Order: sequence, then C-alpha cells, then structure tokens
Amino acid sequence: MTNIDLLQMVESGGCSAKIPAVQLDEILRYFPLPDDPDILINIDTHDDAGVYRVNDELALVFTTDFFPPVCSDPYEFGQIAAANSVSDIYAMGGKPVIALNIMMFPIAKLPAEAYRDILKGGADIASLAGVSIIGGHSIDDHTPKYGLAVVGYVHPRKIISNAGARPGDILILTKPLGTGIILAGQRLGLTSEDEIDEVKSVMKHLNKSGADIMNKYCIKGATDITGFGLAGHALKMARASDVSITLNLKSLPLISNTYSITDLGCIPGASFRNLEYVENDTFFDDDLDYNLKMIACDSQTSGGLLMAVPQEKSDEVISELHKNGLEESSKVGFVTGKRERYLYVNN
Amino acid sequence: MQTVDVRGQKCPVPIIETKKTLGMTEAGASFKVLTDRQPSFNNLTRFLKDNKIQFSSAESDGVWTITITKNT
Repeated sequence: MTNIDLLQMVESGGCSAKIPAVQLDEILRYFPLPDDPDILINIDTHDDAGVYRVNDELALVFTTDFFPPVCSDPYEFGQIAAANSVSDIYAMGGKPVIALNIMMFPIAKLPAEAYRDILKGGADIASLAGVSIIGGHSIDDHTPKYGLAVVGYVHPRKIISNAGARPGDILILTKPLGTGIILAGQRLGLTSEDEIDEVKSVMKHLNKSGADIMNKYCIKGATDITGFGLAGHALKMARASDVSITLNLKSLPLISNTYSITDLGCIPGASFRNLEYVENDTFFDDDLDYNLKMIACDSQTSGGLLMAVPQEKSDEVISELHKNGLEESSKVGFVTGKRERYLYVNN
Repeated sequence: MQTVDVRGQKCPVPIIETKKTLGMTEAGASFKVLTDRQPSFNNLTRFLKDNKIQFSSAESDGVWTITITKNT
C-alpha cells in the first residue's frame, strides 16, 4: 500500500475550516425560523443540534458535522470525524441511534482504500457509540471531507441545552484545549510525535461518558467545544441562557505543550476570527496572559463538553468524570446573573 | 533595516517569524515585515496591537509593509 497523507490535500482541517461565526450570523439572519410547536430547539439559540418532539416521551435530536482531514491517516481521520459528529447529540443529553455518512473524496487522486479506511474509522467509532450507520452520500471532490448526520433520542423533559446555564453554576470542561494550535504546529514541524498522538487521542475520545454523567446528575446546561473555541461557545451559552459567564484561564486544561507552541506565535487564523466574534460582548481582564487568551479562542476539533453544574454537585461531578476516563476535566469558570457583558475572561 | 519576507505564507507563519525576529531585535530597533495576504496582515497587526508593540503599515500593489519597532 502506498503511504497516504491526507494532510497534503488540505489548507485548514477540522473545525478550523468552519465559516467564521460573524459571517454565518449575517447570512442566517435572513432566514425565518420554521414555526412548529414540536420544534423544541432550533438554530435560534445556536445550540449544538435541533430537537423535534415526536410525542410526550420522545424527541429526536438531529445534527450533522463534517470537515477536511486533521491527520494523515485515513482510518484515524474517520474515527475523529465520527466522534466529532456524534458529540452534538451527547451535548444535548441525547442517545445517538442512527447516522448517515457524508463523504467528499477525490476518487481519481487517492486510492479507494483510503475511502474505505475513512469509512471503517467512522464505523468503528459509531459502533462504540451504539450508532448504526444506515446509509450515506458521496461526492467526487478535490479535498476529502467526512462526517456524519446523526439522529439521537432524548426525553423531551430531559433535554440539555446551551440555554440551561443558571446563576451559581460552575462550568466544567471535560477535555483539554489546544487541538487547533497543535494541528497548525504540526504542519510547520513545531510538534513532536507524542503531542500529535495525544491530540489525536483527545479528538477520538467520545463524549459519551461525559453525557452519561450529565444525565445522572440531571445537568440542564451544556454545549460541546468545537470550531468557535471555548470563548465562542461560552458566549453562545451565556447569550442563550441570558446570564454572564466568567472564565478563569489559569484553570484551563491544556494538551501538552499547547502553551509553549502558542508562545512561539503559532496562533491559527481561526483564533483571530473567534476573538473578533466574542470581543464586543466580552470583558477581557487588563493583565490577561495573551497566550491563554488566544488558547481560549482556539478552534477545537471534537472538543470536550462544557457543562453548567450546580455548585453543590460540582465536586462529585468532577470526581466521576476523572474516574470515567476524563482525567483532565476541570472547573474553568462560573455563571452569574446577567451583567454588563455576557463574557468575562480573567487569568 | 532587517526585512522579514513572509509573502505567500499563511497564518500562523507571519506571526511566528515576527515573534522570532522581535526576540533577536534590540529594544528601540526596527524591522520590516512583508506580506501579500490580507488575513495575514489583519492577524499580524491585531497581534501587535494586543501586545502593545509599536508599528506602522503601508500597502502598495497588494503587498503590505509593516514596520515594527521593539519597545524600549
């Protein structure tokens, strides 16, 4: 088999390839939202997935996500893309059930085995998540892109949403940050093999155990951290919940060497776009560590869950997360009543 | 004056090269950075502003010249 390097075919991979939030908001505001009482969650609150009530006991959580490669190996790319796609269901407290593959693939330029390996990676992660892939769609396109459209179940009264954060809640982040910075550093030869292995393992990790713990503790507010970075998704949560959020950057869990690679100036363009998106609604502390500020804006691929946990449950939730394979889970901030700005960022 | 030519290079290369050169420049001395990409220009000047590093810039034929002076 020839050595296939998917990274040779992409300019920006993973969730960094998202359309900037500022431009997306401008486009979407011209579209009226469908009016149907069974639509429980739509794009209005910028949540992770749409939710549609089937009856009083069952609602469907529906989401899709796909992106260009974030690693060289097709099988691993498939795993990461699938874990990322399913994550939106977990962030809403749902149980993923079925999915469709979405594939763009340069069939004349890459061997078909690469196609097969991407699908195999996706199928293996879907299987771990208990999801049946029941079909899909493919297009011949220069840059490979892969992901899933996923349907999950949720009880209509047990939906977790980004509008569910309440004053007094503690914010817990379940995965370390830095995927965008490390992946940009990889392209420039600034990272070691160990760091790349670590970042791939973070991205492949399903948010399933985090979601199970949210359900066990009846958490109401959460989102997953992806393209808009911790700051961008925290801002969306604050707006949707009509509260203010304070982030303490010194508490952020980071993938190894994220700080030192950022300190070299390895700040991807997506971080600047995310900074631009949040800054009008954000108060940044004057003596903020610049590298940590840009890490908070770093676009994550298949990032962790950001949960708003009532204070009295927060120690127990953290300890459960640590016991269930999410050892890096940390308290990264807290929720207050609405203040002048939505987001406050401290060291 | 030293020139850092990052024409044709996407972010984060211009910021990495600028930071590297800043580290080797004496306080009060200046150097130039050349870029032909608008996003790189925007990101680099944003980086300089946020870090309170003095600079001036001029554009000619699609090439931006950013003159950076290391703070004393």
